[in-house]
Formats: sequence, structure tokens, C-alpha cells
Amino acid sequence: MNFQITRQNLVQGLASVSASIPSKTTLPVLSNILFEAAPDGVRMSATDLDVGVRVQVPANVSEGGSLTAPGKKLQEIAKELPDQPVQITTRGDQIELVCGRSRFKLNGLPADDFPALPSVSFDGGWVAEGANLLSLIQHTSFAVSTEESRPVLNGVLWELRDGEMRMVATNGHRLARMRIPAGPSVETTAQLIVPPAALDQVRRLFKGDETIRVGREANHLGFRSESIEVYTRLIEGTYPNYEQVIPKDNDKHAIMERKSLESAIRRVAAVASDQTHRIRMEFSENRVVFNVLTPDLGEAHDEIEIGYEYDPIAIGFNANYLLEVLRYVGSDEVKMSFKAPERAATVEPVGAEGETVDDYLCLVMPLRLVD
Amino acid sequence: MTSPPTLSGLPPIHGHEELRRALALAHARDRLPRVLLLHGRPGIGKQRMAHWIGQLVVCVEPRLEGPCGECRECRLALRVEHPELHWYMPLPRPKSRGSREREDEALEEARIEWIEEARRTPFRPSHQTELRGLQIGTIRNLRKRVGKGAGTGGRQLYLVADAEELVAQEASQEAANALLKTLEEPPANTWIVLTSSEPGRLLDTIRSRTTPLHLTGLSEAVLRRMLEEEVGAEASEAARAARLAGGSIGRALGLLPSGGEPGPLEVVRQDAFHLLRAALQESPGARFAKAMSYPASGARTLTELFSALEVWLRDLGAAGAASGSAILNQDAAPWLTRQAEELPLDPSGPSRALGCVQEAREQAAGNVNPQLLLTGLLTAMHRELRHDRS
Repeated sequence: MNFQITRQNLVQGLASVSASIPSKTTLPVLSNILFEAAPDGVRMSATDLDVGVRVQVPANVSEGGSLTAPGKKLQEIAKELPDQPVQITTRGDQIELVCGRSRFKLNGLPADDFPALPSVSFDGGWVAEGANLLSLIQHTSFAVSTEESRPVLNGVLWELRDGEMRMVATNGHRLARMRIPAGPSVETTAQLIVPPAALDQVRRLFKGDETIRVGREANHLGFRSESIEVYTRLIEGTYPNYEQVIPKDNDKHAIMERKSLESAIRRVAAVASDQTHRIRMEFSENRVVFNVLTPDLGEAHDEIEIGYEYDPIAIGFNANYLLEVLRYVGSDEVKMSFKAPERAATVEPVGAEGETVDDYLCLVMPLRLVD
Repeated sequence: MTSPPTLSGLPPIHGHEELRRALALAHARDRLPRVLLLHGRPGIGKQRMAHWIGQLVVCVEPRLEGPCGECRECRLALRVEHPELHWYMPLPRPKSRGSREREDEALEEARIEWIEEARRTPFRPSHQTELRGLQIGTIRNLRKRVGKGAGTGGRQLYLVADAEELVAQEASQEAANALLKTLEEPPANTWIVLTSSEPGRLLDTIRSRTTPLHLTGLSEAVLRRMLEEEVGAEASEAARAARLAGGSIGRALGLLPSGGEPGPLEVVRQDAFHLLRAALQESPGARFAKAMSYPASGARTLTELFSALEVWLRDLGAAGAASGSAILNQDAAPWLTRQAEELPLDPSGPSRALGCVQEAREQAAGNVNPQLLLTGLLTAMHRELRHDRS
């Protein structure tokens, strides 16, 4: 293998794939990046076995071939190279980099040892606009569960049906759901459970103005643009019927200024229990009062003005879940809907005219109030 | 000891030919049980056998006698670098425990280090210097990995070594219970192999979910050849270690001298000899002094001492029956014979004393005070050996 590449392309290529290199692994080859040189350029790949990334970067290839080399070391070296073309060659299982008067030799491992990235056909797949896909990911993947007891909840549900693309994630205590029109090119239906690590890579590597092709093969999913490919294992299993838990009859609605609400929650949460993070919210005509009482620590009281014209109600929430949801809602005002203290509450963004915008909904389960 | 041949990854597999043939045949017929329990004495190659089964499962062109040994999958499996073969083992409890996530991470890092060391040192003595356990965090990590399913290769195998450590003590069964569901319903194309030298310590609910396979010890000739040809031991040392090892390559390795010093299990063997000598002495003070020379905690690490003591008692029995050639500790044969001749030994004493050791072994699993445990053991042994049953 022998090719010349600009320093910038080398740095970019390495940065794109290196986030897939596991920090600790039982398999030495996973610390390496696979280089495959062909007449049309150089492909770099890295994987942690769950998510694999491959990028194609322009290079003048004088001799094809392949080898794996230590990813982090290459990245460290490439960052410090002068801004000159880099000549990369292999000799046996060693990779040699020459840039100006700098010269490096690194021990590699045979390309054959590198785990093959899944072979996914994109022919029967679908196309997603980058902006839509990235928005879906950003608004939902935060809500996945990290508990290993229910593996399906460790992923984001991605549904294609009824002309819509939906993503849903939950840990059983809070849930995020977003729906976007799928566009005319999406004729297929699918229900996939995608690991959030893969979606993080998609969000990091693809741009909003790109068209992303998506393909599925057995239990693997692939995302592809002209020069980037991301592959992931899908999580197997049946996602719970999330529609069932989204309340349809919440009849009390509070319109609140998001930043004031966030600030008030953050203030009183400082005194909340480290275990439950429980805060009490008492809604009454055009105001909400926050109370926290933690016996071995102290108490906090706060209140803000809101739009609320229903019967008074007091509900307990995990402050962390509320803050997390509010961070992703994004609009200046939010609508919080509820029915009773023991029933799920929903939070939705509100537009300038007071109507709900986007098809985005977060659900937060209440906590029992002990008093 | 001469220099051993350079080896990285798994040592060659020896023995258990019949079992391997049966397993290969079962695999060829797609009838290899999904959850296996390989049990047998420590150090006889149970984990090596489990790796062989893993290699069989991922091999691209398995043959009737086993994996081909030549395909890419076999090569990676032999180097302990196959992405679909997962090895979990007892580890010391992490020192700095914070959140559950941090504990799980610490255990995963310890597992990675353990595997790296195992790759560098394929021949390791069956000898423990610290308390280890299959912690609940290790099982959580395993379950997370199992939940992801097999990768592009399509088939995966999990090896859970020394599975008796799932239940460190009777009162702490959480790790064992956490594994039950995975054993009950392994995902498609997933095999799980547990190994254990003390299957009696496993929960019934674990045992009932496995297909047990018993592994016997390796022959003395095979052990001697391995020690000479693969480990690079001198012929006389290899012969002595092979004789004393009772079919266990792990024990044999521990009996070989290392860096000019006696091997760790040789130290244990000598220690066990002193225990036996104390048990035979008339003076209760000598027995008490010997018991008090042990630390006051860490009874679970006495397992190897009890195993060595059992060999000494067996030899004492052989000496009493005038079967000098059956004595394994040949270096002490004259002393053993003298004890049998000079002391008023009860002929059935050694076998009854073995029962005392077994009892002490069970108590040690409950983590009692080793000094008290050994005081009791030496007194009981003395009573049985000298027929002083008053």
C-alpha cells in the first residue's frame, strides 16, 4: 500500500472514524483503524463491534493494499504534522508516514484480523433528509434507558409507517417521541430499535443538508452518504406499546415560560433528595409553587407566574427528568398537561401564537408525594 | 527450567479426546447444548476445553473431529482475539466503588487486563493469591453484551469460568440469580459454557439449566510431556510435578520452581506437610501454634492448602498399607513410612481424617476465622489419626 494524502484529509478521516474506537477492549485490533487503498481513494474504518464507521477520503494511490494501524497514535501524530502532503506506505505489518522531514513507523496488524463491517444492501432501503433525521435523533435519544435489565429500552425505536418517521425513547420514567413526515421516497414500513451510540455517530458525522441512504440487512442497519458509512447492530426484541402510556385525556394545561421554569426547578432541586430528586409542583390560577422538603437537609420554596385556568393540583416530579426534557423542547414556551397527581404528565413545545409546534412530545411520570 | 517456546494466546489442547469427539459430532448435527457446565478438578483444562468449544462454534469449516484450526475464525479464537468469544472470570472486588456504572466499568477494565495477561501467559498455575468472585457487576456486563446479540459472524459463545464463584457465600446469591434468565433463554446462535471445580456450590437453579459434562484429569505421561515440551521444564522437575499434580496441568505448573524459588503450590505442599506433622503430634500446644501461624481472615484462600493436605493424608494411608510405590510425595516416603510404623496409627484414620478436611473445606466457603478453623481441623485430624476418640 502506498498513497499520498493531504494532512487535512488525513486528520479529518482519522477524526471521523476514531470516535468508534473503544477506549478499552479485549481485542487489540479494535484499537486500530483499517486503511484500504484503492484507485479512487483511501477508505478508513473503525469499529467497537456495535457501531462501525467507514469514510472515504481523497488520496493519490500509487499502490493498493490494506493494513490496520493504531488509531489514537495516528491521530496524535497527524495533528502535529506540518501542513504538507503525507506519504503513507506499508512494509509488512508496519505503516510508515513521511511528511516533510518527519518520519514515523508504527506497528500494525493484518487487515484480515479486522472484523468485517456488516454488508448491508441499500437497494431496498430508504432515504432520509439529514436535517430531519438529525432532529429526530437529537430530540429523542437522550431518553433511552441505561439499565441492562430490558435491552430493548437501551435503544431508540425508529418507526416508519403511515407516511411518518417517528423516533421514541424511554427508560420507563420519562419518554420522548417525535414525528416527522417521511417524504414521498419512503414507501417502506419498519420498526427498528437502534442503539443510541450509533445515532450519536450519525449525528456527529452527517450534515443537515445531506441526503442519507438507510439500508437494513438482518439485524444490522447502515447509513450512507457519498463518503461516510455508519453501520450498527440493531437491538433485538419487541418494543413496548408506547402509545398506550401516552395520555390522551390530560385535561389540565399550563403554559409556562421555559427558561423561568428551568431556573425555578434548578433552584429548588438543589435541596431535593439525592436519591429521588423529588420536587412538588402546586398549580393554581396562573401560578405554580415549587416546594421541596428533605428532612435531613432542609426545604426550598419558589413560585413563578404561568398561564393556568383549571382546578388546583399538586404533583411530584423527578427534577432531573423535567430539566432534561426542557433542555430538548427548545421553544420559548412549553405546554405541560396533566390530569391527576398519579397520572403521567406531558410536555410539548409551544409556538409564538400559543399553538403547539412540531410533533414533539415528552412524557414524565409523577412521583408520589409523601405528605 | 529451560526457556519455554514463545506462545501467545491459548496453549495447545491435550486430553479429553472422547469428549471432544462427542461435542464435535453434536455440533455437526446441530445438537450442541446451548448451556454447558464443564466440571472437574481445578487445573485440568476446563477453560481450555470451553475455548475449544468456542472455536468449534465459530469455525467456518468444522470437521468431524473438531474445529479446522486454519480458518481466520480459528486463528483469532486461538489468540483469544475472536470478537464473538467472550470470556468472563472471577475478579477481585474493585477497590474504589462509586456508582453502579463505575463499578461495572472497573470490573470490565479488570477483565480486559486479565485477558491480556492470559494471552501473554498461556500456562498459568492454578493458584490464587487473592479473593476473587464473579461479581454482580461482571454479570451485568455479560448480560449487556448478550443482549446485543451476535455480530456479523452470527454465532457467539460466553465462557463463565469458575462459576462456583457466582455464589461467594450462601447469603450472596445475587450474581447467580442475575444470570438465571440468560441461562434459561440464551438468544439465538448463542452458547454459554460454565466451568466449575466445585459444582456443588452452584445454585440448584443454575445447575438445572445446564448440561453437565465431567472432565477427568490428564494422564501423568501427558502432563510430563506438556511440561517438558511446551513449558520447557527440566525432565526431573517435570516428572516430579506431573506425579504430584493428580492430572491437573494447573497444579503441575504451580509445583514447578519459578525464578529459582519453589513454585507457589510447592510452598503450599510443604505447608500442608507441616499441618499433617502438627496433627500427628501429641502436644495440643504444637497444633494450636501451627493454627495460629495463619492470618485471622481469608479462609476462602485455604482451598489449595486443603487439596495438598488431602494428598498427604492419602499418602499416609498408602504408607500404612505398605504401598510405598503409591505414595505421590515420594520425597517424604521414608518419613511417611516411619510414621505409619512407629506411631500407633489407626489404619482407617487417614480416610476419616479426609472427611475432616472436607468438612473444613465447606466451612471455609462460609468465610470463618482460619485460625479457629485450623485449630478445629488439627484437633479432629489428631483424634482420627491417633484413634484418640475420647
